[in-house]
Amino acid sequence: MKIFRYKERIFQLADKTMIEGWNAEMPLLFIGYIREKRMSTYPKPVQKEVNAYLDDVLENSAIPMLLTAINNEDVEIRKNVAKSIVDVSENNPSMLKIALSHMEKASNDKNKEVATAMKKASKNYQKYLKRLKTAAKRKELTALRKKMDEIDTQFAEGKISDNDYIKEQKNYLKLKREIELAEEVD
Amino acid sequence: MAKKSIKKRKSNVSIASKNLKTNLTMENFTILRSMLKKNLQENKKMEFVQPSGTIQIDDVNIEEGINRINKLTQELCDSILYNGSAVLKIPSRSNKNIIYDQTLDLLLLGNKITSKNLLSLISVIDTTRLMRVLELVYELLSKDIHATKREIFYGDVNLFLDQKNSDASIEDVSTLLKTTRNSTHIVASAKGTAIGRLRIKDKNDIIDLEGLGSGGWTISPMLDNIEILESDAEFILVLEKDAAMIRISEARWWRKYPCIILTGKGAADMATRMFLKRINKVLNLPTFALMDSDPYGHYIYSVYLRGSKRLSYESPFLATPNMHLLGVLSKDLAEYNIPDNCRIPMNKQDNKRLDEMLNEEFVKNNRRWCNDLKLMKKLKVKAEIQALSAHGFEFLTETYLPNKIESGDWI
Repeated sequence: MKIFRYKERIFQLADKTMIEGWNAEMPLLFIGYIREKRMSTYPKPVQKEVNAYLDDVLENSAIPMLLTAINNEDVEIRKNVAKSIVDVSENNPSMLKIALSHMEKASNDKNKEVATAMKKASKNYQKYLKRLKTAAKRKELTALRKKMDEIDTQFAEGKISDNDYIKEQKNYLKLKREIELAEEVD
Repeated sequence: MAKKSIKKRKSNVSIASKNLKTNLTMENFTILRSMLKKNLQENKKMEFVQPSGTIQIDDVNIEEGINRINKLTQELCDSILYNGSAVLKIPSRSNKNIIYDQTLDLLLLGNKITSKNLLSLISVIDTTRLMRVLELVYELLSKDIHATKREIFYGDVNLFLDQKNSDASIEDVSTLLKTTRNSTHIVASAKGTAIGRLRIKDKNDIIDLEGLGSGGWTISPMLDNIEILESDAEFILVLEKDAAMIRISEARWWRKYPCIILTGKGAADMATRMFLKRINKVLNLPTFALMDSDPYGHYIYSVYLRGSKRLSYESPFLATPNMHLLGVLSKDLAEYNIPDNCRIPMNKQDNKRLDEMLNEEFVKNNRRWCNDLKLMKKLKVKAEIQALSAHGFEFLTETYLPNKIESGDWI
C-alpha cells in the first residue's frame, strides 16, 4: 500500500504494483472514486500528495493499461475491456472522463462488437453529461419559479408593465420547455 | 453533583476497582499508535518459509489449478495403464499429523501420507467421491465460477449421501492438489460481516464499508475477487459476536476511533479468517479480538490466531499470528466490576475445553494468556461481552474498549 501521513494519522491507498494487477479499466475507476468520494475527507497537505500520486498512477499505469487492453491483438481482451467500459458508463459514468479520448479511438475498432460497445459507452457518457446539464437547468428553473411568484404579485398590484411581465413569463416557460424536451429525449 | 451520586447509587454498580478514564480519543492511544508506527516501518513483508516436515500449500490462480488437476489425472491414467492400478497419496489430516510450529506460531499439516487405492473395494467409495469433486472443481475453474459446499453436495446427492462426505472430499481434493480451498473455487456460504474505515473492490464494484448502514458488508466467500483499495483505519477489531457488532455499529464507533471491525458471528468461517488475514497483512494494522470471557471465546481467538486443526493445511493463509486478545479477560471481571449476577458458573464442557486450551503448546508459551486461563479455572465463572452492559449499554463503546486500548491491556 502507498502510505500518506499527516501528523499521527495515516492514509493507505493501493500502490502501483497492486493496481497493475487489476483489470484494465479498474485503475480509472479507482482514480475517479478517490478524487470524487474520498479526497475531501483528507487533510489539505494529504490531498496535495494524493493528487500527485493519482496523476502519476493515471499517466504511468491507468492509461497505458487501458491502451494496451484496447489495442490488444487478442480480440477477446478488447471485447472484455469494452464490455467493462460499457458497465462503467452505465453505473459510474462520471469516472470515464479521463478515458474519453481513448474510447473515441476504440469506437473505430475493426471488431464490430468492440466498436459498437465503445460507441454505446460514449453515448452513455454523453447522456450523463446531458442529465447533468438538465439537473443544473432544473435548479435554475426552481429559482426562476420563486422569482415568478414575486413577479406575479407585482403584476397583480400593477407594479410591472404588461411587456415586462410577458418577457419574464416567456423566459420562464422557455426554460421549462427546454427541460421537458431534454427529459423526453432521455 | 448530588444528583449524579444518587444516580450512581441507584444503578447499584460501582466501577471503582479501576481508575477508568472518560472521553478518550485516538490521541490518548499512544501505545497503539507506536505499535502501528512500528508495523508500518517494518512493513512486514516477511517471506513465509515452509518448515521442514510440513506440507507446502499454495494459493494458486485458475490456470495453475487446472494444470495441477491435469497433471494428477495424467499420472493416475499412466499408473493404471502401466501398473494396472493407481494409488492416491493424500496428506493425512488426522490430529497426529498436525504440527505446531513455534517459530511461525502456526498449526501446520505434517507430511504423513494416507494412501487410497483407486481400484480397491475398501476405498472405492471415498475415491469415487474424491474424483467426482475433482471433476466439479475442474468445471468451476474452467468456467471461472464459484460453488458453495452445499451445491457440491447437491451436485451428486446419491453419491455423497451426506454433506459430511462431500465436505471431507472437498478438503481431500485441496490437500491432494496442495492448494487452498479458495483456489478450488469451492466456498462456504457468507457468514461474517465487516464495517468501518475501508474501501474495497469486488470485481469492478467499489464498496465503501462505512456506507452500508449498520449491517455492514457481508464478507464475500469469493475473496479472489476482492482487493483492498483504500483505508484510513489505525487498527482492526475482531468481535466474537454479532450482538457486540450491533452495539458498536449503532455507536458508529469507527468514526471516533478509525478502525475496521469484523465479526465471524461465533466460530469464524474461512472467508472471515482469510479476509482478516488479508487486511492485517496488506494494511499492517494492529489487530485485536474481543471475545466472551469463556473457554470457547478463547478457543475462537486461538483459531483466528493460529488456525484450526481441521484446516491446518491452510493455516498460512488463514491465521493472523500478530493478533492480540483485548478482552474480555478473566481479570477484567474484577477490574471492571462485572456484577455477580452477570457471571455464569462454568459447566463440565467449559472445564473440558479450558483444560484442553491450557494443554496447548501455544498457550503454554504465552505467559499472560496462560495466567488468564488459570484465573478462569480458579474463578470457575465465565461472562459474555454483554455482561459489560451491566454498567450501561454504552459502557462497552465509551469506557471499556477505549480504556483497554489506551492502557495497552491485552494479551
